[in-house]
Amino acid sequence: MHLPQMGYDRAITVFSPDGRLFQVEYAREAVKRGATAIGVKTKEGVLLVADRRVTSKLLEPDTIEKIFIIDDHIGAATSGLVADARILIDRARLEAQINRLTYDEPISVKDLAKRICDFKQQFTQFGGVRPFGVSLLIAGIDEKPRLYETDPSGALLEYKATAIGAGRNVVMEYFEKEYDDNMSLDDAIVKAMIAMGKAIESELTYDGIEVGVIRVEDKMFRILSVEEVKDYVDKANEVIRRELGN
Amino acid sequence: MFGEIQDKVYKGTTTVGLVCRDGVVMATEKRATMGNFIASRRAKKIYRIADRVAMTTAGAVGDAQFLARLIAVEIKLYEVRKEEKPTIKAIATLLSNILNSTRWFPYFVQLLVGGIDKRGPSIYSIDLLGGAIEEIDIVATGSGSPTAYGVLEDRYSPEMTVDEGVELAVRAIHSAMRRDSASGDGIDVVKITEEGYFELGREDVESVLSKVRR
Repeated sequence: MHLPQMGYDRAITVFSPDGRLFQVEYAREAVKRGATAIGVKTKEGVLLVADRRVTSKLLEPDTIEKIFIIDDHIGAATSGLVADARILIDRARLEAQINRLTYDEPISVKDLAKRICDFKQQFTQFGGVRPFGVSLLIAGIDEKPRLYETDPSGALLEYKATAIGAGRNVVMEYFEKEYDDNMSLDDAIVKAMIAMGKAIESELTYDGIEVGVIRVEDKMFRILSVEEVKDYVDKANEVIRRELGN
Repeated sequence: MFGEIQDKVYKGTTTVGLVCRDGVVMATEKRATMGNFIASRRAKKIYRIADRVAMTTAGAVGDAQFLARLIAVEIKLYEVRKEEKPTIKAIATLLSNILNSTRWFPYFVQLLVGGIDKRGPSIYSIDLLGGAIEEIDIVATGSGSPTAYGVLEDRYSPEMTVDEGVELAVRAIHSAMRRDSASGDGIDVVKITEEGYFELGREDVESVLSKVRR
């Protein structure tokens, strides 16, 4: 009996004849439409850069959160459905504290990423629910700097540099060439901003972008203020201007 | 039943808290007893539960340690979700609710929670059923508390600075240690101001004690 492909859209718990879960794939499409977020790991630490451009002057820019603090030593950037992302972020925060309560130690970045992935996976296997239309970039430092990407299926991948959202391909292409194991965190921030400029095809503004950073020296994940971001943005814009002009 | 419980909670410690002009001082001694047996001479009874907040514990050690872990984690969740620090009152209320929810199988503890928040310095004492009281000047808990109160009542003034408060706290604990067999073996002192959270080292406590001792 051959059912048309459309029949397999309905319930998440059903495989298609060619072994695919369509709801998961459709969830990935939702992420592809989301605002770009970039993560880069260096020996000095890890950074996250997110596109925070606002569609209307009437919107209060502060309410647009793309980068979140999960615990002292871990941050995350989201792309995709904003409301779904909030649930995952809160879950991550809870898991990090439960680990402290149970073991009296900070959760390892990999562990935290796995717990989120396991949580996401449940929504691809049990009936009546849909997957999260969110990918996360999880950045943190336990013994070393770490950067992980999770997708709606619950898959986990560790990266040196990666991006999620609309600009993923452009950014990955840029870093395939420009990534350097020995670059400083400051250089990496500028590079990530250049990549963001290429992805959004325009220069960056100081509050159109959100930057989160964690350095090996203090292992505290922080979101940079607009003041702190200025220098990096100016440097990146010089390059972006040149490249877009061509 | 409650008579027995009161005994269990009351015993075996002296802790003090003082609200000063520019911060709070919290101090404890270090003896942990099981009946007449001294189980430890280095027991930790002050926990740093947040950046500028300390909790002292009297009563059952396991209960106190668990509650310290739990409240530290709850405070962290608050900070990370709301992007601001909880007030001491909020922390005391959180603890009060937790303690009251286990009313019929209580945690055998008497807690002091103190520190600095956006409203200034404050200390709350919380009992095993969750009864929380804001202590606006001085407070002492544990079997040594009657003696400690005597010293505190005599010399306390709301205009004291934290450094003067440290000396008074040490005096109070020292006196309690002289007259309560369940208290002894050394003094831990913490002072919390706008500038930060400071645990006094052994030499600092010694130099205060040398003024106090006969």
